[in-house]
Amino acid sequence: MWVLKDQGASLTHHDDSSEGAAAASGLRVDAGEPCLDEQSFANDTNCVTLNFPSSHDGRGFSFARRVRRERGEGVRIIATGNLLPDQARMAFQCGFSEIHLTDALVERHGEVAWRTATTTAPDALYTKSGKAPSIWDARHQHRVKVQSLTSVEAHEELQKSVNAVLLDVRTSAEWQFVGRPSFERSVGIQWQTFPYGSENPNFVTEVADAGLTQETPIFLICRSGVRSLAAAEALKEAGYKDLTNVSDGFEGAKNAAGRRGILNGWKAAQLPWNQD
Amino acid sequence: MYHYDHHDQSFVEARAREFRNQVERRLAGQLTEDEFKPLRLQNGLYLQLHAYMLRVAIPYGELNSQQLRKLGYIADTYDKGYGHFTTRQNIQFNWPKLVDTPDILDHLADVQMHAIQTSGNCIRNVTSDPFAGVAADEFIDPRPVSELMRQWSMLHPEFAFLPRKFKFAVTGAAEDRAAIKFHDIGIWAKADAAGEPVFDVYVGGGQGRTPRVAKLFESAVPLIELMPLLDAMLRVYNLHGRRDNKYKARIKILVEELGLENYRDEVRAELANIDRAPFVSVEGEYERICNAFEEGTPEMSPEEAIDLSATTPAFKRWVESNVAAHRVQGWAIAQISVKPKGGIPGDVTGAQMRALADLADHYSRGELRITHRQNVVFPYVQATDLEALYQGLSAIGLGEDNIGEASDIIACPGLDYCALATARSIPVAQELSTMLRAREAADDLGPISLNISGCINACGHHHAANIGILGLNKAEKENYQITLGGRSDERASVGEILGPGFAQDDVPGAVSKIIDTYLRLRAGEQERFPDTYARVGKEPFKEAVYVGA
Repeated sequence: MWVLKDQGASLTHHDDSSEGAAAASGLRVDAGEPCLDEQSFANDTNCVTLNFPSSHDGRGFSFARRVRRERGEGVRIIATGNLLPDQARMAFQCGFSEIHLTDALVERHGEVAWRTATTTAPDALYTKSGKAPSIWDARHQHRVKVQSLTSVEAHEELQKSVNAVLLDVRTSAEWQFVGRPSFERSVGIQWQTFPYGSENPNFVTEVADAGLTQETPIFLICRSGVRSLAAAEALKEAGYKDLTNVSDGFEGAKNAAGRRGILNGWKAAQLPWNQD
Repeated sequence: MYHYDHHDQSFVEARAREFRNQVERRLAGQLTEDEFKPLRLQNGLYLQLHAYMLRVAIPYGELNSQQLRKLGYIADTYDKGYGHFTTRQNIQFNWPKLVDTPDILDHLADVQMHAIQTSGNCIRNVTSDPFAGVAADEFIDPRPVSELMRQWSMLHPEFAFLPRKFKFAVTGAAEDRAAIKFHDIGIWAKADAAGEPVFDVYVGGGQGRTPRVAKLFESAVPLIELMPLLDAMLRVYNLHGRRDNKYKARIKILVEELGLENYRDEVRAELANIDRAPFVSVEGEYERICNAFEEGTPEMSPEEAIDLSATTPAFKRWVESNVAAHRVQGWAIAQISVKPKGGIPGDVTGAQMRALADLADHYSRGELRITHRQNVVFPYVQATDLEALYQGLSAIGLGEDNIGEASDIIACPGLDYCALATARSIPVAQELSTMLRAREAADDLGPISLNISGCINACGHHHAANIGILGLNKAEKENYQITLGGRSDERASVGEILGPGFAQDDVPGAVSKIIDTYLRLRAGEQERFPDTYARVGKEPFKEAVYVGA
């Protein structure tokens, strides 16, 4: 038999006696049986084996979640039966610590399929699942904080600084048709590209190409402070340390009549700006 | 609309690579067909009667012109030059080759699209109101929570092998245009006293051979509680839903067999111990998504209302039938009928897709929506552009003025394509469309929904139609059963069987008599078909159709 463990990083061959015997001494539950309940948690064994009667039956995933939650990190949870390489990721993310495979299963799918099972699939899910990293956490749990200033405050700080740069992340169409802030150390790099608004995949590279280092104080501005915040977060992920978001942007928020450029923002504050 | 950030983009690209690897392993014989089946289904790939069919997700129905052009390219390059809009805001291609599908998924990823979980026993594409964000009767824009749910459900490791498929629909308006009560879980977003979103959660709706209207599980659930609640509802279903009989495996059967109260107790017990770590970022993520939608919404300043009465009768009729109220004055929601007289419901050619994309760039800020009634919506049209848009649509054969009318037929692909079907749907839809367009030109029949399914699985939503038609196979002959009185809106109900079925040739005559009976009995022009039916009952319709009044 074979054992896949360490979140899929290790695949090893074993004699049927060693690992298998350890599993046999623990609680064995067949996902096909109607016993996926409290009695299993009450058992004080440190090893729970869940059998997958078929790769189509996903009950074992939910059951492993519950066992891991109730019994904590100490318990070994082993998957046996008819799993596919493509389900290994799911098993580890649901709390399984090991997957025990028959020689026949490894032979048919090939060692390569099992070894790469968890790396060919997207490993980062949106929601945290077991030990896997999560996209939502990456988006929201940052250590460095982006400073937030109004356009008036930002303008004041920019005047005082000797090397701070104003980075305008709006689209080229906005620069041309709405105008740009006047400040000598200004750089324009689009966060979203015109006309479809898709994220500029080269944003971070273009910022570096413009000569901005990770130490440069960067003040980011867009229409109303949203895109510039997203852009600042991306720079932060790339290692930039001194980031300030101009919270009301160039045109500011909409007023009651749905118009911008009146309520707040660089333009409404009558800070210097120009148009091509 | 929502645009992918680099996380979303690398996610779909990695998923496309994974599928390429799965196809290679299938072709090399490492995966058996039985093992490959759920993997290909979870990438939207079915094996149909004549060929593979690829179903591509259009999350909550929203598309931009660039994406539609790409779909047109796929239709022309890998299909026979057309695609089919489905009843769940997806598009299907009927003729791709297995070896080409990884390339198609790469093309989709290039424009921020995918086919993930559009079939299989997993959480399917989250559907929503096609007027989301622009409807005059909206409480809360349902798209941000739909996108949140799309992300949560993508490759959810625990819920990829459920007892059966699982469908969510979300609406946030007074009128339910997303048929939420015919979904496994339906979510109705509303605003609380402070204007914050809260969600009424319905469970156990569905069609198929056991049609059920969803029941209210819990009302006014705050955002922070919604995602853990959905997780708990799915976990209880995954553990206890039936796996012995695929026809009794949907959550509606579990809720019915356990009883709503017992199911609710199980879910609450699960929720009491649930791990909340996955959901700590939910509020921040919801806000980020809301901002992304806000940033992606064009500026719409209120404009003067314009008078459309002094125009051609044809344009005027199109406006009356196809244009809906927009939340901003002087703007319009234009609905585009994909139900031409005698045509195939929901079929659009590659050339039409490109032309529609151009029109969307000119008249709808580059954005459009697909509806569960298999039509298209332009959400951002200035009222002053409507006439030019109408002329542009007419020029490409999409100027039909029948939205919401009887000839705006929903139909599944039926026995012409589908391996499950017991009868053809398309020719019946075409004959009915021809008959009904002629009647609608002569008389104002008012809004009537008419849906056709080619088998008991009810993909054509016949249970939820005012007039439903179900194609069966009786003694090796196609036989069509008629149901009356169904509706899919906020007052959802399942239609009742009228009586013995009809041969294909007799269907248009029977439908015509049903409409005559409605016109004769309705209490004024404002009374809608299902209201008349509820008031007068089945008998007058039976008499008209079977006795031959």
